[in-house]
Amino acid sequence: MKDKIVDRIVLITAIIITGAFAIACMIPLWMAFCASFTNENTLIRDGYSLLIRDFDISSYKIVFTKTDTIYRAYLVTISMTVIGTLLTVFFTALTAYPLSIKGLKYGGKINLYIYMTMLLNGGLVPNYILITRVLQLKDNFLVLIIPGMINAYNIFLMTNYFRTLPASLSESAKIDGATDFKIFMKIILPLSKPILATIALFASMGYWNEWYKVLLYVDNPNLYTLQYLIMKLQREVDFLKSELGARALEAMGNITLPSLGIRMATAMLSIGPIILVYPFLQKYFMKGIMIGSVKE
Amino acid sequence: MKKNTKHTAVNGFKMSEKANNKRKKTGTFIGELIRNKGLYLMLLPGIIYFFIFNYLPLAGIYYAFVDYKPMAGWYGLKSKFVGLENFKYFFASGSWIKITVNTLYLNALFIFTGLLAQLVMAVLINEISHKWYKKTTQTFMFLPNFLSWTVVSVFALALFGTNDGLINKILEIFGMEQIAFYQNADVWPLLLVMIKLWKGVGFGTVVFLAAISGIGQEMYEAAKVDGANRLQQIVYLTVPMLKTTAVVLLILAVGSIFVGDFGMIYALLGDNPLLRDTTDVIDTFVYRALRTQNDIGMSTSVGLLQSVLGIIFAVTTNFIAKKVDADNKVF
Repeated sequence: MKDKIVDRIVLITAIIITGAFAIACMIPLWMAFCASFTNENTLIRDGYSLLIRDFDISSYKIVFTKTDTIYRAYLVTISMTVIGTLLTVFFTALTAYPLSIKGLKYGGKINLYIYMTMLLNGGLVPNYILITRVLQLKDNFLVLIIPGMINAYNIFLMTNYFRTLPASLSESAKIDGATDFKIFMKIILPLSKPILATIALFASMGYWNEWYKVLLYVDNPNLYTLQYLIMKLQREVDFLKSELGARALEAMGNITLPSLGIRMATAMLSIGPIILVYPFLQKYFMKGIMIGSVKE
Repeated sequence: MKKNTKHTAVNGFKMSEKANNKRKKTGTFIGELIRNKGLYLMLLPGIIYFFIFNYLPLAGIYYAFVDYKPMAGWYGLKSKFVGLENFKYFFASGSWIKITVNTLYLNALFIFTGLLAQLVMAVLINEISHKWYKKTTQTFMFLPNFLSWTVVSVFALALFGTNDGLINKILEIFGMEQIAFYQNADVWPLLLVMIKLWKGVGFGTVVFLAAISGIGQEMYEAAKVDGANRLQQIVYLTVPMLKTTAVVLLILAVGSIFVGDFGMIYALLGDNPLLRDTTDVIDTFVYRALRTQNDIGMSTSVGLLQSVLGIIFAVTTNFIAKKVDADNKVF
């Protein structure tokens, strides 16, 4: 009898605590969502709240119609996410496949060469000078994609996966005269969809949320990513100087600057796609974490 | 890895004669490259990539020992050698204690609170038998992980803003005094911990849940037969079974304790000088030295110190993690 009560208490505690934390996780999102639909003056006067007061979509209107800043940021972000993810997955797999083949004599040495990159790190400044001065990639679209495109960790995850595939498949294809690259493209890749999808998911997430590289390597506003645009808007002083800020000021008859609403609307627009695809991909993400945490 | 040569022979033998005959049997370096040229060609882009983006910058470590002049040859590497001047300058500035303490302190807070919260949350989720409830809460908890720090900073400003922030609005309703979060350095370690938990717990919980699902159902059955209630099962079965996972995650996290979370701190607080006392970490310091003071020599030397300590920590902790559990290693 006593045990039954204890069990009940445990269950109820579990439900309350997990539920409370889950709600706490959603509150900031909800608050920002409401704020993005709230009239700017109300927002300034009454502050943020968990309700939509004085429903107003002018923030979104300004963001979408007054300038093309948001379209450009979307274009940059989408293209870098798509291109970057494809390149990441392809080159990670391309490098991982030969390393998964047991007969490769220098495979071990190359493995070590790649593994050492996890430890050795020149630090911020040497990388900065490499990219801005040696490679001259400043304000270049490629700088958003190439640095960090492949990394040792993903390569090892993929190598481990390839090792689980039966070696006889590639060997028999080899006997039939297929080249290694053809085997890789036609046999190995189609069999490796789960790991390719996992790497692609995490890579696309990384590209979509990129702002650090923009902060370091991009001055040209045409190359701003969505996330960096948000950061720019966040820094009020910058906002006033920006085109979007000036147009917004104009649109409001130069009385009040709807900077709060615009900031919220832009943030909502940047996470919108994530929230839309997230429910469908959640289980793959979880699988991905498991692959990452349960190595070998 | 060292046994690869032997494997070649065994593997080669396993392959049919035909395939074997196709490949010339030379043991030389060139012979091997020719024999497996397809594979080595596939490796080439990766090898070049890592050379450019990971090995080439290592030469830049030399900036730590020169008085950097942009015009000097070899991208400034030919600037005047000054020995340990840059390091001395950094240590003389006095800020080194503050940023080191902040980095270690904040990371220690993040690691301990994070692991504890993840473990507790995983155990609690595991207790719930309603599948939809489990799934929904997990979905909600997991979502913040996918938001970038810049979005989080928008939320943070809306929550903690002085005049219009939600928290201050609530304090106002209860007639309490407002808190100027963005002007008060003392509150930020706590706020950063809360924000970090908010963003990371759901993600970390997955690892613990996986470990829990690895505990055999028969052990719970046995515990039930012995008359253990749910609380006793948690305390004497689930938590002890998660100890190894927790210890390994802890050790690995400690391995990167010298790496400050630049993304988080810079996105949330920018360069706000009012908050530096408690939030300035090695990484934000290096960034500032590079971008605002343009002090290449000093920022490189600080980065170098951080890397060296980082390597020592990472190798040591990985070694210990292997001792604890052979299956868990990063490298």
